Amino acid sequence: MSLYVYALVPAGVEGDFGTGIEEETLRALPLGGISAVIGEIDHRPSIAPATLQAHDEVVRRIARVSDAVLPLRFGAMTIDAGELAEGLRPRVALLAAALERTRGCDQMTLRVYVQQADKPPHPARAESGTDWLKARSASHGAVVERIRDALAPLARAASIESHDTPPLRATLFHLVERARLGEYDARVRALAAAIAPHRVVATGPWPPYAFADLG
Amino acid sequence: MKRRSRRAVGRRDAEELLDNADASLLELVDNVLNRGVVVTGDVVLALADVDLVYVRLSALLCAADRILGPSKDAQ
Repeated sequence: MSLYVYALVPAGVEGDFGTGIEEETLRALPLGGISAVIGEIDHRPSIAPATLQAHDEVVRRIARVSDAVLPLRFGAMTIDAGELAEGLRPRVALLAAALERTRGCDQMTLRVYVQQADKPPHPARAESGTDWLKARSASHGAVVERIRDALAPLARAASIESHDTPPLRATLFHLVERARLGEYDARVRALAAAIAPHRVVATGPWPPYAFADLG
Repeated sequence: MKRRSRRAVGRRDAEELLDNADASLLELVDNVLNRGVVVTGDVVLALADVDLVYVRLSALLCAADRILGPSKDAQ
């Protein structure tokens, strides 16, 4: 048997975490200033839709028990509690801080898709074509910045990933207090109308997967 | 303590998953496979090549936009 690790919660959190992806009983394992919610399973979980969904459902259930939660990446397993403690011990203080940051919050994800403009000028006018490409890139960047600036006041934390796969230009992750999710949604809808023909697609709320970094 | 390496079979599983994923599943995959706390050191990470998953996800999320169609509001 091995330990499958689902999420980190503050030390002392108690409650019924339910069962895991293999119907195993879950428990909180104290690790200094934090606890790890774990289950004992006897084989590596498959990377299949049902298994991934089951993992997410378990993390969401843990988030209903604990107001602060840091999800672990799918598939995190250790031999025993000692190995898990050794793996996390150097970062317990940082993990505790990242954990506290998530208290009362959910993650929202925004995908920003930019409208591809018409063809550039004739190739013989290379300088103009280059300038056109630069201008287009700057314009797309301005769209992302506009979204970022509009939503920043509503997020406790935020991160942006740029993409080189047009029309997907950027992904924004926001850590939003649950009480403000309605306000956040309304602002996203207003932005979606304002940036047309560019598009923004929001998903969530999610457990704070994107805020488990220690930066 | 033992140090274990990632298994190639996990990588094939991830590729097959991405080949067949719809837009909502892609979002789930991005969260649970690409993000979350990673326990380093001697801990087993029973997963595929995460970098490969990330690169393919960017392309597939772009494709998902085409599947969703034009002029769709924030969901």
